[in-house]
This record gives sequence, structure tokens and C-alpha cells, in this order.
Amino acid sequence: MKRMLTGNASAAWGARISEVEYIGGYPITPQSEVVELLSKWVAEGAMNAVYTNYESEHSMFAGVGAASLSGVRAFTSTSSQGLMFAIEMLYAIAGWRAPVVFVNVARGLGMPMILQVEHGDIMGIRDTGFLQLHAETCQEVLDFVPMAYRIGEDRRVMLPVAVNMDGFLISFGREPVDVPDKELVRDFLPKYNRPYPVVDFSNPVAYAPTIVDGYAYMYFKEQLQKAQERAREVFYEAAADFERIIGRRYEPIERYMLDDADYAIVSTGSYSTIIRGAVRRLRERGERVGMVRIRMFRPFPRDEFVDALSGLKGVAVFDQNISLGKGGVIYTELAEALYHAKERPRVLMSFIGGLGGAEISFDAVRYMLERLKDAVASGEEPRNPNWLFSEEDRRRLARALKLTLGEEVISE
Amino acid sequence: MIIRVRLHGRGGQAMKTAGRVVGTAAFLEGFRAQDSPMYGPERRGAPVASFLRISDEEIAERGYVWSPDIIAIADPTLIGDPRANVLDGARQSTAAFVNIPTLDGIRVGDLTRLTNYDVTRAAIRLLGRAVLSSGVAGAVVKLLPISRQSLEEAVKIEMEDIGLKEREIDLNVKLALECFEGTPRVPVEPLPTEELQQFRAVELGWQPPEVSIGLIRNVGNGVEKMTGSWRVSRPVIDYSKCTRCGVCFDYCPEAAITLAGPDNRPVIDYDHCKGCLICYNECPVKGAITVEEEGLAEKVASGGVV
Repeated sequence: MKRMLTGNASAAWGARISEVEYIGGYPITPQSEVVELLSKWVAEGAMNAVYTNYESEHSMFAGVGAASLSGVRAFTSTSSQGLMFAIEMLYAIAGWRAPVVFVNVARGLGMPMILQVEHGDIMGIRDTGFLQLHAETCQEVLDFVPMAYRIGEDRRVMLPVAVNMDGFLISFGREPVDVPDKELVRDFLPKYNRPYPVVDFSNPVAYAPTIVDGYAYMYFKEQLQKAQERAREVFYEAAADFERIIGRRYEPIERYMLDDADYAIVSTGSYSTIIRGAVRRLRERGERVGMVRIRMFRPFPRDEFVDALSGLKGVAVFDQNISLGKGGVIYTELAEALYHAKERPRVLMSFIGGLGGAEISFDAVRYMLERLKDAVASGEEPRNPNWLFSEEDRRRLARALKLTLGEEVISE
Repeated sequence: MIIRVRLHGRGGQAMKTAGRVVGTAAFLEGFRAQDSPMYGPERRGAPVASFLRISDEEIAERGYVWSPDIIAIADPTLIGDPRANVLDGARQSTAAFVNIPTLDGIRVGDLTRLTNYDVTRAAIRLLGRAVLSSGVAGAVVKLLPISRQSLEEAVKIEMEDIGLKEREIDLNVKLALECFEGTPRVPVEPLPTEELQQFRAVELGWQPPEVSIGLIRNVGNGVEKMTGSWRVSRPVIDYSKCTRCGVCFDYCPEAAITLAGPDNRPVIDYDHCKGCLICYNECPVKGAITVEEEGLAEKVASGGVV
């Protein structure tokens, strides 16, 4: 049944239809609505779950991780500064192999403080051991929650999963969303079955040992990497079952208009809607351009990218994040993925834009394509990264700086 | 030529400082030198190791000494402690210094080049307590091509660095020189770098969650670890003064005190009592718990030494 839902409500519905048994909550804009809804449903008895309000995100992740170790399906959500505060516990949860699912609502990282979208928070946890699914739409937010549990709880994986959506645009934005019946989801998602729960008092176990020897530490880290690698095959199995039972099909990357394309733009998250629309219109003008969008960011869909981008003349990567001192995160990872590809694209260009919800228009996408084509034609190494900062942005900035500094420092 | 030394002791015996004294002495002697310690999150009494590399060529090594040419053992009860790995990578030709009054009846694996001195007794006599850094350093320097003068200077530098006063520094110099003189020299045969263990890569592959999740299924195995050997001082209960109030039982952080018998008398499990003396400090009755120095002979007799 379809209804108008925000991304936050979609996340809450995702947890509800996944029949989560434990929820940890702590408010932060633009995420609070997720846990507000879940708390309401638990209070009304619509969900058979325990809901706990925490005093911080750090404690909250510790709590949901421990709940997961006890053998119940645990859920939480946070955003931005809250995620950064909790990051130590993320490594712990992954190390415990506790398949918690959390929804991150992407928001920039201060200073300067901002509430709007940027991917620095979700990219900032890319090394923790969490799998990552990136949603573009409210529907994907909802669908990715049961998908995340299915993949994370698989015996071959046993890892926590982060589902990412963009702050405001998706978290507060509404669009029609299909909420699958609980019975269908039960078919797709079996009950969580932990091999060694901590509350089996006949068979007690202890988690989180301290290790002094490097070889043992390295063994467990290597096992985390191996589990990440196996998550890829599990994603495909889960996606196939999801399509059969629920009727929607997901791949680790979305390929759009790539047949006979010479150029492609790579992106993730909600701005992909703008880029896809622009790509379609550029096609109508005769440009041989396509798009690749990331759905699964961890494990990184390296083989899929090699397959999708091999043979192209040039690829532009739109990063809505910045690894300061290096550049765009997706660009950097993609460059590695393509390094050994036999027919790797001649030019890989990096664009940074949309930080803090900055505008990306159809014409900005046209601009990226033009710059990419110029780089391919010139045969010279492109300068990276390139900032998508427009004349209109500069006019707005000039006015804002005049107000805050009391004098005109940039002319309109 | 690189000489690789590994020092084993317990937290509190100052083997980190002993390593630093030898490292500085080697540096003063004109060698290239490197020293570093290793310890876990545990407390006083837990096994601690420290490492030294002394060389007349570039030292292209770091950290743990896996193939020691010299092993120094500050506490003989460590020899039988599997967590201490005292014999890790030792060869029959590895020289071993043991802090013990006599080598009679002492075996350190199949090592043949053993030497000894009673550093603990000397330390208690000179310093009033069993801090062994300068003494073990003196004994180790005896086995190395390092002069008495460099040892003396190194002890002064390192003891001043940890904030000791002049009188204590002088006593530490005395201790180092006494142990230097008193330790019989045994030959040291450095292993050529080419003969260090070869690296052979293995592929472990994905392992099922039953073995790859970091958890302890064999719970309660802490009992098997005889932490009683960590003890330097032993709390002893005088049952004629003990009121059976149970405060020691409440405070013992290791659950090494149980209440037994019809009168609920506290009984100390000396296999696991680490000698933290919290019971002694918390006991409200004067004289009900007293402290005795731990005799090495008893610990050796109780099976600590292989």
C-alpha cells in the first residue's frame, strides 16, 4: 500500500516491518522523527519492542550493540555530530560482529555548524566494519532496512549495517512509498539467530576480549574484511529474494543510460535524482552520457564499477563530501578500483559540490560533462578536485559575508 | 652484528627501566641502541617484557625481540608461566640471566648458558624494596661488550630521569655495580640477521562465526591462570583477631577471598590472590590481617619454576 511518507518515517517503517525488538534513541536534527515515531509505536503497542532513550549517541550505540549480542534484532538512527560522537562504539559493534542496523541521516560536520546534507558523516565511518547502503529515495530508505538485516545477519557476514539517507531532502521530504505487508517481510527476513547470544545462561560466553598479541588482533581484523567481502554475494541473494517476494529489484550500483555511452557521472544519495534527470535531458541533446549510482558503498562495489565503466572515454565523480587534504572519497576509491581495469576510462575527474545542501542544477551537470569532454579532448591530466561553486553562489556569499563581517570583502 | 636482548619481569619490578638503563649504557659505549617495553592492560605483578638491540650496524628492526641472544628473567616464577612466553624463540645457545640465589635445580628450557645473581636480596638490602631495574641492568651489562663506566653513567641518567634524589641514585649505582660484579659471565653468540626466522605466508580465508567472532566460549578459564605468582606481598589473616565482618570478602577485587565454614571465616585463595593488599587496607580490625614478604623459595616450590 502506498502512502506519502518522509524519509524519516520510511526508516521507522523499515524498522517496524523488520520487527525489530530493541530500539535505542537520541534526538538530533534531521533524524529525530525516526526515533520519535518508533517510540510512539512501541508505546501504543503497535510494535513488540523495547525502546530506550539514551543520554548520548555513544551510550546508545553501546546499548544497541549489547542488545544485538543478547540475540535480539536491534535498531537505531543518528546523524552528523551524533555519529561522530559514537564512532568509537561503531568499531566495537563491528568487532563484536553484532548485526545492528542504523539509519544515518547525512548532515554536514561543524565547524561551521550546519543542519543540511553532506556525506562527511557517513564517509567518516567507512573504515569501521559497518556495511553501507545508500538510499536515494524514501522507498529505498524503507526497503534497505530489511535488506540490511538480511545481509548483516547472514552467517557468512555477521556485520552491522548503516543505511544512509540525505538530511532534509529525504529525511523531511515526502513522496509516495509502498509499505510491504509484515507477512511478506517475514518471508524475506527470517528471525535473527545469533550463534552465541550472551543471555544463554546454560552456555555463557564473554564478548570483547582484550588482546595483547598482534597475530590474534590481525586475525580478527582480517575476518572482518573477509566478512565484508562475502557480503557482496549475500547482497545479490538478498536482492533476488527481495524482488521475488516484495517486487522491487536492487543492484549494488544503479546503471543508467550506459549503453553506447562515452561518458558517465558517478554519484550517491538524493542528488542522483537531479543528475539522472540532467543525464536524460543531455541524452535528448545527443550527448552520449550515462550515470552510475552507488547503492552499496561497503563493501565497495569494485567489480561492478569496473564492469560498468570499462571502455568509457571519461568519468566524472560527483562527491558530496571532502576528505580534506585529499579530495572526494568516492573519486579516490573509484580511482583505485579502476587502476587495473584493462579498459579503464582515459579520464577520471573529481567534482565536489552540494556540501551543506548547496545547489546542484541541471546546468551544473551539463558543466561537469563539458569539463570532462574537454579533458578527454585535450589529453592532459585533469586538475582535481573541482569545486562546483557558481556565480550565483558567489553573489549569495558576498551578501552573507557583508552581513557577518560588516564590510564588503567579495564584490557581488 | 646485532645483539638482541629480552628482559622478562612483573609489573612493578621495573624491567622497562632496566631496559632503558642498558640501552643508555650501550649508547654511551658508542653502539647503536634501541630499547622498548611491552605490556598489556594488567596491573602490578602481571608479566612485562622489554627489548634491547645493541649493534655496530644499522638496526633495521623494531619492537618485540623474537629471537633473543640474551634472556634476562627478573622473576623465576615467570619461567613456568605460559602467558609470559619467556622461552619464545630461544635457542640452546641463548644466554639466560636468572634473578635467583642459586641455579641448583633450575631449568630454563634446554638453555645451557645460564647465569644468575640474587638481585632481589641486593635490592632489598640497598634500596629497602624489590625494585630491580638497576640490578638486572648491571647483570645484563656484564654479558654485553659494555664497560662498567657506561653502566654507572647510564644508571645515573635514567634514575635522575625518573626523579630519584641523589642518595637513591647513588644506592642504585651501588646495586648495579654489585650485580655487575656478582654475575658470572657466560658467552653470548648473536644470531646473524640472515638466520632469523623466515617469513612463509599462509592464507587463512573466511572462517565461520563460531571461530571468527572475538568471544570467549571457554569462560571461567581465568581460574587456570595462577595469578598468585604475581604476588610480592602476602596478606595473612589472624583468625584470633578476625571478627568475621566480611569486609575483606567484599573488597577483594579478584574474588580470591571466600567465606567458609559455619562461622563464615574469610579464606584467602593464594593461587589467585595477586597481593594487592586492599583487604589489608580495608580491614577495620587492627592486626587481623598482616602482610608478609613473599618468599621466593615457596613460590619455586609451588611449581612456578620449570
